Amino acid sequence: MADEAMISLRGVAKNFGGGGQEIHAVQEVTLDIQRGEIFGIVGFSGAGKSTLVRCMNLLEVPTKGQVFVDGVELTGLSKKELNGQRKKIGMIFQQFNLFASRTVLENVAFPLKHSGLSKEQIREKAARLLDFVELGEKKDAYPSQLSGGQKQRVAIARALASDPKVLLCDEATSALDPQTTHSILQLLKKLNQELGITIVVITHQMQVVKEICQRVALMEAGRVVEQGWVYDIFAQPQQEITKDFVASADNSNQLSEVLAETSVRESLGQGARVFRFRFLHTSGGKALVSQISREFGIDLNIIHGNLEMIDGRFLGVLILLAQGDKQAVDDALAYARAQGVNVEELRG
Amino acid sequence: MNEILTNLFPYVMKKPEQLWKSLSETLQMTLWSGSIMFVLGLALGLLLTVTREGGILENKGVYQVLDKVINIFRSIPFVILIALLMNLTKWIMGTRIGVRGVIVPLVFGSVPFFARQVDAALAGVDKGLVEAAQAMGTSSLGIIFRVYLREGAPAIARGTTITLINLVGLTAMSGYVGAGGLGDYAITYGYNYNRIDIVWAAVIVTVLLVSIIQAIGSLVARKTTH
Repeated sequence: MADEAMISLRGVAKNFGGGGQEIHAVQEVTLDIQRGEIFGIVGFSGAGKSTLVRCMNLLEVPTKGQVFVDGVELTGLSKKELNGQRKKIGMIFQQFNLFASRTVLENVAFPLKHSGLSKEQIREKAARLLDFVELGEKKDAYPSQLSGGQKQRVAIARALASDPKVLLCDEATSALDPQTTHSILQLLKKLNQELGITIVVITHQMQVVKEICQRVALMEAGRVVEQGWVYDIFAQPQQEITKDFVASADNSNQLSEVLAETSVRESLGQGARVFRFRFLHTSGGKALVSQISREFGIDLNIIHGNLEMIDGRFLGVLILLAQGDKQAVDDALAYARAQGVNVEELRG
Repeated sequence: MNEILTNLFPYVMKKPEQLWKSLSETLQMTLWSGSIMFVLGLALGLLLTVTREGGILENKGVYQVLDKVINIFRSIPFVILIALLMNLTKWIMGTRIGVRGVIVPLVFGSVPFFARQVDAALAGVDKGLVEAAQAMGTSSLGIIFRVYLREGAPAIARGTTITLINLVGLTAMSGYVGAGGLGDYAITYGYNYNRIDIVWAAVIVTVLLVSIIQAIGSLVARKTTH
């Protein structure tokens, strides 16, 4: 079955605690992650995303439901069989979790003990993996001598040592600065493309999703509330929480705060309305703003603009201030929508 | 040199072999019971850590029993422990007097303390490391040896140092069962005959012994920290 999902969750739930104070960290999640994709899981802290990713290698045993990875049902395995399957599922963490008492090379070699390789082969493989993550010259250093980004590279090399088919990343870039985050994400992209590893990225940073994921699921209160192609999520977010996350990634989230300022409202003038136009790659290349301004006799003022590539396709965002006859503005908006532009009114 | 010593420690120098014999007895007691204590305490401390709630081999029953037994033995004063264990000592060692007769009480007196030290040391091992090892498919035994013991080594070395120094303190009471040692030397030859130089000699040798243990412990802790 070539089209079988790499990771398949079926009605997975996880409760913590007992008695009257049970916490439902994950509730009835059914999700398929395809072979070779980079899949993002996004949510605020406490949404259950870290618990969910831990259910994928059974670090957390689900209270209910089934977990399949590469066609094997993990939830039905003995402890020994599970340890065997876990070697196919690499994992990296926010806090890197390197062994302080071992050198960089020994850290990478850790999963290779009892792998049937000789000591010499283990050293060679670990050194090769360190070269892959561009840290070959640090092999005899201890983790305490490395920067955060270097530590995460070592952790990635260690996760790759047992030739996994899947890599789970639990907030892997959250402790890193933006530049280092970018380089780690590029490395993840590289191992996805060159080694064909399926990657699951848990994050609260929409920027991370935008940069490397093809598909994304949004979690809230233990449930997946929305999922789809990253482009579609950015172009047409449906749920409130999704809109929040999307806005956080294109800087328009501060806009409503700015608009709420009385001084700003006054300077914009009476009767002004603010809209967000999302131009999709299907919207066409017409000069839409000047066209509707002319044809409907309204004034449009651009106060914010953004254009980016997501998963290889363009997405443009404009924040527009519209002034004029109410009916004319409404007609103009209807026209814009008909042209395939996603229009949303923002309120201060 | 000899003259100075004879002036400062007249009674010690009259029979120096008594001091060396006492030191040798203290060393024997410390090394024997210390070795046994290290193995047993390490095992029990590990058992506490792995069977605790959330541990890698969580087992409420084992943990509760072990926890209680350790508390009970920790609360019994050593002199009473010697008396309490007399039959067990006789059964294990064949005698309840002499150096052989005090090893069992010394082990019982130090293992619970050391098990707690080991447990505390292992609690300092980042849970994330255990999680990472589990995610890599490491067995429970692998986690114990390759994560807990290895990463906890500096803290275990410090705990061992404290426990060995305590053990030296306990051996001072072994005169009660005729095991000799530096404590017995100070009381029998010094205190009872009002010979203060003998007491001072016992103090100085004990302080040197403890300092050596501390120095070795600190060295091991430093060498295992990276």
